[in-house]
Amino acid sequence: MSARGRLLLLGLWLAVLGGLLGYVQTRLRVSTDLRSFMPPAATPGQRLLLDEIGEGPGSRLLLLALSGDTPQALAATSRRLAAALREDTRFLRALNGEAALDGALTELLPYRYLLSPGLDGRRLDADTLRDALMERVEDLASPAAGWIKPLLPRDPTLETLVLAQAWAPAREPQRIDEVWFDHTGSSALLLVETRAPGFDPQAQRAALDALDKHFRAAAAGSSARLEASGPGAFAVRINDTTAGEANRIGVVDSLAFFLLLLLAYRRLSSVLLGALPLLSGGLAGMAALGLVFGGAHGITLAFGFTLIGVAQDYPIHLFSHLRPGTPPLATARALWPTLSTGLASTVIAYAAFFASGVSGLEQLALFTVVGLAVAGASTRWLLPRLIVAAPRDAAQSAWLARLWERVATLPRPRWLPALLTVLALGVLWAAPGPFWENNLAALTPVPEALLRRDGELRAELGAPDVRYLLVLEGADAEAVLQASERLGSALAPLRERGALAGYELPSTWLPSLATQRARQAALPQAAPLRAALDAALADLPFQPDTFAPFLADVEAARALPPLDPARFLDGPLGLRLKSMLLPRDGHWTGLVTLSGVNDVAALAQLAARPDLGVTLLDLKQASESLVAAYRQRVLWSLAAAAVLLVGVVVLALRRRERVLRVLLPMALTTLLILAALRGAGVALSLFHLIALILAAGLGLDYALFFEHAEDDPAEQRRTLHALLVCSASTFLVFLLLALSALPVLRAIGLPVTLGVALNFLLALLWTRRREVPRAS
Amino acid sequence: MALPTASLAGPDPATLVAALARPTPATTAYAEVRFVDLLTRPLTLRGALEYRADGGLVKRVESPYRETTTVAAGQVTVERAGKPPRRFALTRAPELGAFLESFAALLGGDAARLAQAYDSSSAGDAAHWRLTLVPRDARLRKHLVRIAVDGVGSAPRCFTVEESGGDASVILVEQAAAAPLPAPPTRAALDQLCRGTP
Repeated sequence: MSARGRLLLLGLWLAVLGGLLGYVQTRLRVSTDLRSFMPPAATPGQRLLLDEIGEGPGSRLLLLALSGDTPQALAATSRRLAAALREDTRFLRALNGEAALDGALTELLPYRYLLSPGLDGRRLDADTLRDALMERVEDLASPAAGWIKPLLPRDPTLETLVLAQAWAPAREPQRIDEVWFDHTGSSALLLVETRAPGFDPQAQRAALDALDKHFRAAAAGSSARLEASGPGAFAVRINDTTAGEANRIGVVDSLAFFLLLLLAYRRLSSVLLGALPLLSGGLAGMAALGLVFGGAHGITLAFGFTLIGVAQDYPIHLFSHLRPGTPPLATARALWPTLSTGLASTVIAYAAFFASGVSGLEQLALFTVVGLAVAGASTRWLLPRLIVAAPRDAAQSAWLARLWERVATLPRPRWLPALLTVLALGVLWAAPGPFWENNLAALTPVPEALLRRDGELRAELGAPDVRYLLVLEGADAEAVLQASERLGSALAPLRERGALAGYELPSTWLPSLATQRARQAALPQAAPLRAALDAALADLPFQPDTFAPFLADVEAARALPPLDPARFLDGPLGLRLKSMLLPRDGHWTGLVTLSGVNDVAALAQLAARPDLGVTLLDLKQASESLVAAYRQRVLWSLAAAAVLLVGVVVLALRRRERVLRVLLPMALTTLLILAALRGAGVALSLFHLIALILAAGLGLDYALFFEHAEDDPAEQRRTLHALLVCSASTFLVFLLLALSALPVLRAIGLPVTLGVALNFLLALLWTRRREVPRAS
Repeated sequence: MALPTASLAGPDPATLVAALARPTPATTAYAEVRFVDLLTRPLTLRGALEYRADGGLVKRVESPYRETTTVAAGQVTVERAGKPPRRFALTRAPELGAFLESFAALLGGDAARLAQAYDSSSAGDAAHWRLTLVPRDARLRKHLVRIAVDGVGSAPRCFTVEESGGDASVILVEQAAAAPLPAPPTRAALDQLCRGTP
């Protein structure tokens, strides 16, 4: 092909890539919500976790601490920050201890006799009123007089205060200048609920950025610092550390890879053009995801790019086999049967993931199949047209020839594979610790110091537990609220006993219609109430007619339509209830948050009572069981993939011993990696599995190419050159990941590094027959 | 009763205040008569006031019932036997805040602190004086008209807190707290008691 033709083709290729990039950037929505990566729910707990709760209201809470200034300055900052957050729709609530309920209470004042539990079990008779009024006299003499006095004429029993108390957090930190502080008085504390779920780092980042902006505005001119803790803050932080470390490693990796290829091929153009097949595969795979699924999960993409990494070997094979006098296209054609066997078997194997029934895995299958096919096809048909024949032939290299001879004469003990297999199985059998790691969070651990600080803040604020949650379900909101009230009377004794420090029920905010009607029915009629009040006032020093507004309010409350969920949700406290009382597909769910859980068994006993109809949801257990279910599907898909892969290899190679020579190194390598990981006490996660698949794919290619080169010494040396470059580059790239301090990066790096080394050595030893080198 | 306004005739407020300094913690018995417009008769309480070294105040009611009010770090806690404590911000009880502020400034002999928050004027002579404090802060003036402190020599006798709604408290301390209260305890009779003139 002429230089002009090559340039034109390159231009066209790059233009297509540019087009794909544009499409991907505008169309592919990358989701980071863990839920969309998970399989469909099988248990009620999983269903609640996935469908209704997100990850629970507790996970949406951010615990904030302001420190680094005088308490007065911090309190002022806290007030300004809370006010700004309350205006921002990204936040459902911002509590800092200020009497934020005042406005809401005024609006709900007419309903107080229906909402407040203050008069339950009592009637508004002369005795009740007299007790209350005697206390009010004392109140008028106390420092509380200033703010209680205005309430008195309408509310002598102070139902508004009972409500405010019921709606206040179960345990409150101390207040300085009206806002919450920790017990040392050095940090102002706030409790903020985001609209975004806790484990969606993208949405949490938006919320945290907004929080930061509000804080900087609120703390202008002060030296205050902001600390944000909680699942959302952790998710963002972990994403940052992981992405940061991965990027740093990526830069070093790219540089090392580039230098290695430059050293191997001595031509800049080759090295640069060699990046095109993988780039094309990746972009085509993402575009396919956009086209078919409209989006992709971030984890799918991370796994997918790991898996199609095998395609970086394709151009290396082509480059190493180039020689003077043979057009690159002819070289590519000669390599194609071997390359396509590896490609086809891998692609067909990955296609097994389509049948997994998990959208995350289906996405993974589509991405890898399209990506590998495009990378392979462009190596076969496009790349050769862009490059010129190499000035030198790897087969002419003297040191390669010597190396090959030395390798060929190495002893090949027949008993070694058997011994290794037995050893590996022994290690796997005896290895300590659990085989699987179900806690995805364990791979991205939160630093110990942050966890400790989170625990401190959680204890200071009495913030709800992020792990346990009680769930009520019913045909309608009324059923859920009634169940919530029954649960409330069962929970109260548990709190007394110290099984938990506090709880928040949907019925704390809105009692059921039945309860409201019962309270309404218990309110006395106008005449008896007046008589009771007169009797109660008999020798108390109140001015006559002080309580006329009270009489009018009670009479009005008797005729009020009870407050239903629709009206309450529209009201000033609606947002609060909304996260605890959720309608869905014709039924309603109520969520009860718990704080300071000490005795899980007692809560489990409560959940076992048939009369309460409540479920104790262990979010950790539910999400771990989801991960286990997910892995189950991965394993089934893998089994299917292995069968397909063997089938394709058998079909392509036909002869039994050739098939065995190709498949056995890969199989033994997989076993040895597993043994090495388990022997070191590593519990296996999804990330390890994906890395194992990549290692197997690499091993298959190595063995196929050794097999391909069997009879021609020049081809043998070129193949050895190609495989040395392939394995060295892959080894280098994944070694850095394997050395990372982050478990998730190690989980991908370690198996691949081991796999490359073992696959290369085993394939090399297994493939060559001893007799051939001796004959030369 | 004629309350004295700013008067050139009275002793210099700064000198007066300086002479009142007491070591902290300081404790005194007190008697309080509270006038509330919702009530047909004034309420009378007796107990002890304790001003703590950390600037906190404890007000203990001993009769006719028991109640303990603690003011610390801007937070007021009112405790009665058999009831959960009631907590609220000091800013919600501006009268108490103003009383605490003036009480603390007088015990500290700190005229400067007093002058920061109040316009002060005095009447009488060094033996029988009245110090009148009017809040400088307009928001506080919505709740509190003035505090008048009566004293004899270097000892305060009475704090009269006048709220803007017409309610008022007369708090007799030190020697005056022990004196029998006039019956009925009218403002005029208390005024006389405060001035230390029989």
